[in-house]
Amino acid sequence: MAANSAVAHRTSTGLDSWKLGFWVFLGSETLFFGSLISTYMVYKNESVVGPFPTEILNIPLTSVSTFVLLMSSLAMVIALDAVQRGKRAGSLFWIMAVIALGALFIGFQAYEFTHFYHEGLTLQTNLFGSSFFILTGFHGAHVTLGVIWLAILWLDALRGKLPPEKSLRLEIAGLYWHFVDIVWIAIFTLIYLIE
Amino acid sequence: MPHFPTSWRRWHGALLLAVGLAACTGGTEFAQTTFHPVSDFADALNRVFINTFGWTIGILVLVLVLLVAVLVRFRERPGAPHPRQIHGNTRLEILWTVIPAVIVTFIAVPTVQAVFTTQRRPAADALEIEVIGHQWWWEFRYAAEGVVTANQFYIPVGREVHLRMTSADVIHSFWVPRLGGKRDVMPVPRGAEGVAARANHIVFVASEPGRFRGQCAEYCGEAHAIMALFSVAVSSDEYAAWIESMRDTGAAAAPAEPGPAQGVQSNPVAEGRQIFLSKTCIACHAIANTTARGIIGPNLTRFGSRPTVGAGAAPMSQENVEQWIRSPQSLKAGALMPGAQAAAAGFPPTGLTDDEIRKVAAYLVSLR
Amino acid sequence: MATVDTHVPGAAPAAARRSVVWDLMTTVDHKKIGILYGVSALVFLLIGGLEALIMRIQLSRPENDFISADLYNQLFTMHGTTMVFLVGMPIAVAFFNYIVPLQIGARDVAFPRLNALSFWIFLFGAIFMNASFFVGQAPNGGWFGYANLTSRTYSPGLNIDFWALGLQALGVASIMGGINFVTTIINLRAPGMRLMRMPLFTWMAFITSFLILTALPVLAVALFLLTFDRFWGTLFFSTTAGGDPMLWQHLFWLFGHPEVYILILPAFGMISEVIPTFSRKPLFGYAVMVYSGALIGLIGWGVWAHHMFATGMGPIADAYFTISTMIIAIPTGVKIFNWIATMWGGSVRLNTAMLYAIAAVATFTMGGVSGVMHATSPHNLQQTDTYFVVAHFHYVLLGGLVLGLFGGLYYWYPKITGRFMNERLGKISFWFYFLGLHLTFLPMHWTGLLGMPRRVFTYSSELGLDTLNLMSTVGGFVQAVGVLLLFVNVFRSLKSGERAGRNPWGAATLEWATESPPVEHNFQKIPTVHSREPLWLERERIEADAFGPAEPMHMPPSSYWPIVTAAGVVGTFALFLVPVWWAPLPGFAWTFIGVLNWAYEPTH
Repeated sequence: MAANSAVAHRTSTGLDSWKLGFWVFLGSETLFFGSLISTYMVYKNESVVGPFPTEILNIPLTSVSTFVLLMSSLAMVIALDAVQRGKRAGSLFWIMAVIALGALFIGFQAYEFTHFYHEGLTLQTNLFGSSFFILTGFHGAHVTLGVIWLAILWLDALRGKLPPEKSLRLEIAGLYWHFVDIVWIAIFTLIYLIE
Repeated sequence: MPHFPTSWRRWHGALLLAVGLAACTGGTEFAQTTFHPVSDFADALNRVFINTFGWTIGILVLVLVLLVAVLVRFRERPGAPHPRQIHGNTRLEILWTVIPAVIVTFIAVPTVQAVFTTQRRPAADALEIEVIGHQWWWEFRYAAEGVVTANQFYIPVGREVHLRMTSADVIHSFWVPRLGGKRDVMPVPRGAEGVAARANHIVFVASEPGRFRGQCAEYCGEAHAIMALFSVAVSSDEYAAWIESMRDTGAAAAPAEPGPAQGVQSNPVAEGRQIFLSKTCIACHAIANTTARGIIGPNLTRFGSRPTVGAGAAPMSQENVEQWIRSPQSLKAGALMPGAQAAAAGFPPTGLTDDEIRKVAAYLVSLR
Repeated sequence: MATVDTHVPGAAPAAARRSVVWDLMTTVDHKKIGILYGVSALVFLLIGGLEALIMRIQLSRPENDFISADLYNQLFTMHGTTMVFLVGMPIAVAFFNYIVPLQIGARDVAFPRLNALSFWIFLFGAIFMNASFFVGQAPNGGWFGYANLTSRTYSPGLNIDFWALGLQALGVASIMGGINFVTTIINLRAPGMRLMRMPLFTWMAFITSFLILTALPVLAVALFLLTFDRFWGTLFFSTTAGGDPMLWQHLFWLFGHPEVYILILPAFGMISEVIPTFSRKPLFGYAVMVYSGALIGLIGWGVWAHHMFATGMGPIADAYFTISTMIIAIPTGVKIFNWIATMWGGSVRLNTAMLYAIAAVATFTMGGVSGVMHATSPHNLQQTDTYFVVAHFHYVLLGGLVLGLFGGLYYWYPKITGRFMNERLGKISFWFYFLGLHLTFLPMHWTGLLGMPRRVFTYSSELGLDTLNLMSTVGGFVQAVGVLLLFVNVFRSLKSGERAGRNPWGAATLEWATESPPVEHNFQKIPTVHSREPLWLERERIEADAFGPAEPMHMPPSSYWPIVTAAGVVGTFALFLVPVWWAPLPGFAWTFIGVLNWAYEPTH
């Protein structure tokens, strides 16, 4: 990757192109998730048969998993700081913390999905099932990809291949991670908290 | 080449073409023309169009004239000085922003007014007709009058008509150009209520009698192109007579009359009726005042009075009806009705012999 | 270390020629990728045109039986899909690729390998979609694929699957391209090249890229919902479950309306380069042209339901979209007046490129006028879903996009190949195409308002539209002659065209401060600009930098990971056709491996 390379490329804004490009990508992702969330909202009260959201959504449990994801973002900030300051032990610990917390969030999601399945809610049951699973499924897939991405960066850090000059790689992974977190906050608010 | 500037040639060519075509707005030899409205609805739409047309063609002419002028006056000439390097003119920019904005207002105001007047609620005493689009035919139900028909429907001149429209399968679009604009018909599950039963509406008053052709205007599958309908506007008396002739009086179920002695004289129409009512035809079709009560396919009451077979697949005739019964798909690819030998849409072949087909066709054609 | 490469076609030694295929498969050079896009788009233009001609033969007579209804429905679907996604968008990207880095004084785009990836996904996706013809199940739901006709119930075959999966892949390619060009234009401009000094073509590329970035994700969601309904039994468009086919229409047109501006703004940009050059005057109202383009892009997000006036949204929605659609006509009209004012007082040279550009302005205006007529929602109820609409969008697309594009082609061909296209043949092909276009589509205004709906494989002779339809068919063949002559010109001129120098037209913008064709690294030294017309106002200094001694530079090396990854992406989508749940997994794995190797490939 060209990130942080020794030959600094002059750019018109002074911003690294990778970082700028990634922000642009996140902009398009906003419309992707926005359309999925809008679909959910449009169908919110239209299911002909149950189970219905109020019967089945477990807000206390999901609040915990939301907290877990939020803490993972905090861990990401600390991890980036560690990498930027060349602290090997801190980098390894905190990147692993993000991975662990992210994986824990996925675990919560997997539990929730399985539980709903046993309660009779599937993709084919009703509009709630279709729109809920597709929306949260896409989000979960994004988190999973993020976890894999971070695992690869962790291995790099382990082998000493993530020095401060290459911290942009983690920074961009961090942008992605925070974005996925913010999307979750929107989903949690609109699907779980608002009646 | 003659040294007309290329612009002139282009302009003249287009002009000739346009004039020639303008002559083609012609008369009612165009069965589905929008230029000869026969209802208040169609008329209101046309008035919006004429207003818009006037302003927009004016702008177009201006632009084309300016382009021609540019090509005439500013064509490069040898030895001409280098052009003045002008970068812009704020006043001009304002002018050609504000003037179009004003013109837009002249177009938009009557247009928005028409939006609301043409979507008014129907009068309390309007004639209510339910329209249901199917792949690939039209169903019409007159609930208050107890009439069901297909592909051709009658309305009285001078009385407000309210069409309440849905679809039984995919999105279609109901369009009889001379009566007005089109509305899509949306699929609604059978038995749905409330919001799910949402329908589209057209409200209009026919101003003159006649038979007006229309057809489906939203791509709906293989046979979309062959989904015609006919709207027949008649006087109130004729309309009342039509209703009377179409109504199922409940005095139905008269058994099929016993035919004449076997093999002596054949009355194909009577025999055809007997065959029709005893075969699988009645699984899908209904005819008022008979035991045929099928609701899957088009209602065939007074079938012979319709101009076409198969919603526009072929003109109404003994031969074409026979062909249709023998193999609907030979006249309309994709048709969902089974033929004598071939199944369709999950229904088995009817198994009718050619002789039976001839007689059933004679019966149906006789239903005028 | 950069290789200075004079790239004269046909002069390579045998060993280098053998590896031309490998070179193209692994290139990350924006110029070569531009040519790849351009050639592909032109091939698909022929295919889409052939589809149209077959349809027109079928429609030349009422109740004709030249082809079946089923084949006709596949042809009209693929004609629309091909022309929009496999011609219109890629040809714009071809020129964005080739010209934008040159115009802003860059050596390549911001992400060269991502650029290659976009191309290969596009090509593989396009081949995948067209492969459906070989199994007789080409997409047949219209280019707009309305639910619930596209459900498994009403479209049980593979047709819609090919369409949804193929289009999804193409969308990914477009979004990647959008990211690339936005970043390139923001970040890789030459010193002194402020945003308001950029050439107008680059500005239109910039706005178009933002539209791509925002509109294509909405289409992606719509396609996912449709795909999941068809493959996994979700209920998004199932009316029995409370689903609403209107959701598809809203999502599709939220994408679809910005899409038409994605198609037209690049051509507006080309016209804005050609007209000033051959009037020998700067573009009139540069700032207004920039702002109007941005406004069109922005307002274009607020008009989508004017495609849905017949669906019964109610009078308030109808009124709102009527007004917003009319408002968007204002900045569009402003552009037309600015082009005229550019030529006014100038010294107008009517070569082929300029003929195309002026014809584009005139023809687009005609299409714009029928567009305003469409905007009036009451009468739209007569116009919509008829040939009147077909007339409108062919006028704006063939008029604005294709004529503008052909003008751009004649204009930039000398830069790309180092040779001129033949002027005489150019003018002949122009007249055939231009007259053919009007002969085909002018009658359709009447055909539509005289009652012929769209998307019909035949029509009744009762409609009285036999002559009008025949005229349109004849016009189609006249257009075809024009297009074929254009192709002949393109190919012949490659070998025998008159040689062109660096700036054969005496144009103003930076791309003309390069060799024809440019060296691989474009400029020896990136010039500094102080004006909008650098080659008119500061030529000596700019050329001294551009052609003088080379500065230290780093050019991105070739890579095969983009084409490998592209195969994975399209392969994953294609594998959904295989009816086992785990079929796409190998595709995911392949893609993952491609991305991983790509990420760790050394680029220095």
